[in-house]
Amino acid sequence: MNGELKEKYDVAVIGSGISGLTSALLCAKKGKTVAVFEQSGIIAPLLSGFSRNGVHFDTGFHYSGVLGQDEVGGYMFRQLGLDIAVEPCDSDGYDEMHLLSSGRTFKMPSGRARLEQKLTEFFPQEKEGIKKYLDLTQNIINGVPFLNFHKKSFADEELFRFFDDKKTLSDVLNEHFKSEELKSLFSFSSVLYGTPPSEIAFLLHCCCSGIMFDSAWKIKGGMKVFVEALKKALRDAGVEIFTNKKAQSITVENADLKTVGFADGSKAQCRICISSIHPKEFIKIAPQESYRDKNSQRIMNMRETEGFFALYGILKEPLQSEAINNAAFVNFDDFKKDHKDFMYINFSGSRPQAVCAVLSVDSDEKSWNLCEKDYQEKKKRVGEKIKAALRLNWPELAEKIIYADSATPRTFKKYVNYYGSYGIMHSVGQANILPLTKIPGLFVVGQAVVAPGLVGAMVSSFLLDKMMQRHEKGGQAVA
Amino acid sequence: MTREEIVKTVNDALMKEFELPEDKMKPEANFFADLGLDSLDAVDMVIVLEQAFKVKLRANYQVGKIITLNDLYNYIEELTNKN
Ligand SMILES: Cc1cc2nc3c(=O)[nH]c(=O)nc-3n(C[C@H](O)[C@H](O)[C@H](O)COP(=O)(O)OP(=O)(O)OC[C@H]3O[C@@H](n4cnc5c(N)ncnc54)[C@H](O)[C@@H]3O)c2cc1C
Repeated sequence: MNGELKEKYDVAVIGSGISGLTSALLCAKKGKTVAVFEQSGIIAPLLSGFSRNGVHFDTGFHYSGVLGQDEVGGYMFRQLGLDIAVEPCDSDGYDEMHLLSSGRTFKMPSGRARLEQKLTEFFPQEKEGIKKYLDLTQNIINGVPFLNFHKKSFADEELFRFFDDKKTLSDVLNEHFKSEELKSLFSFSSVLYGTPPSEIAFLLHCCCSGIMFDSAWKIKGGMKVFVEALKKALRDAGVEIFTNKKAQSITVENADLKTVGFADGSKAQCRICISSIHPKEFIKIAPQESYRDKNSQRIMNMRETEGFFALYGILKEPLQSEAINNAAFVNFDDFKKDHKDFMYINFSGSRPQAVCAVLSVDSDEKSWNLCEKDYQEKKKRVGEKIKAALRLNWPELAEKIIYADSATPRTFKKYVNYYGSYGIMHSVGQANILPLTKIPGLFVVGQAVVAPGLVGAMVSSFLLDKMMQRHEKGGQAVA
Repeated sequence: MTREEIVKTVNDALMKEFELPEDKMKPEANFFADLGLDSLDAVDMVIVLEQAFKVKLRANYQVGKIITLNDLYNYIEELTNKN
């Protein structure tokens, strides 16, 4: 499917995740010639999903906040010319939390007022804390530059805060609440960024998880439709895409010329190079002068988010509570244990329903880069563990599901070139990576830059675009 | 410490750590856009300033407002006067 490589491009994008493709579209819209290079055999491997027995399974996206028309997600889709329809998840309960310790089920409703009311019904002694906590979350979301750049203008240094807030989600939950069960309920959504509550900056938690308090959205028709819309926009914009092209070196020839070398021996030349791959993979292929030595070291030492083990299945018949989007098992001490071994289950909107049950596992390369026999054994063992948990905690589901396939961190490594579910952690004390390197015209985007998630990854590309525009106007040699 | 001493100590520490030329160290210089420092560099900046002034800069909410060199001088002046 790959076409001929041109002699030189204005922009070469490495990696065809949502951030790489967003950057490619933004550059192409300004009339630049753009090529995208992807190591895997398909475009947007994390979002494309796969099919088994005629049923499509979504992989890297199920739901998110702020995708509405007036919100940052809706704004970005429009700017990119993406014809994408979103629909709200079940507003009575987009997340169905099975509180195992008290035998109750809490369905997260959409909308601040309803959420506050329902939480107060479940945890009457925490009334005051609940109100304060929701207010605090709301204030952060309304003010944080990266969710509001479409409404208001911010200076570069505000977009990428120079000094970071040091408060963790655990700090804030402990300040507001006594009930361990409530703390576990609120912190469960750390699955959306793969960093434990005791380490995630509260601000980032709000930006990834708190954004769903208002409304949780999904893509109408699922991610297959989304990826098709992306491909159409890329075609229309004249972006060239090459798959099975693993970048393995970037060399700077002069201010206006960089060469990207690929594993198959071919090369591409460009003026601007945008990397959207895992920062540690970037360091391996980038020129040494891209960062100060200390910072390269810092990036190489950054910790990886938890891994995901996903078990995929099809429902023989719908569950009794039919409108379910996501479900989770929550123990009262999960918060104290930093949600180690959390499990959540996602249900597709299609019929028959596709189900994805995810368990958090170690993302260390050593744990998964095993010989074939050990790997298969481990894969089987962990899969059985998930099945057993479903039989125990949700017999109705266990009875109705037919298992179709599974994915381990090694599967993710093959498709996206890293083991951790969301790449590197966004913990306090571990600074975000900025889009600018020390080399003019060499940039970095992706979930490591602003925040994990569809929105976070896309925002990183929009912010880079703003910086490139400003610097081009100001005549500074950034791009 | 006088304002002058603070300015000199800050500039010396930052020029040494980040190999910055003296002519860039203007009070209105923006860390990000003018000095080319980023959020990763901020960690080292805090360390060298703490060593130079023997004060703790961390866990202080105000640091979020520091955008230019002048902001940093003001902040350190306030901190050292308090002690
Ligand atoms: C199981 C799962 C469920 C998720 N669910 C949600 C959700 O419900 N909502 C939400 O908002 N987010 C969700 N996410 C997170 C979201 O999918 C990601 O944060 C986002 O897609 C990351 O995009 P990216 O562009 O930064 O990175 P990626 O999509 O990882 O893109 C990087 C690309 O670079 C390629 N690459 C790597 N190295 C090279 C190289 N050397 N040369 C060429 N190409 C290379 C990779 O193959 C990859 O395609 C989920 C993630 C996972 C894993």
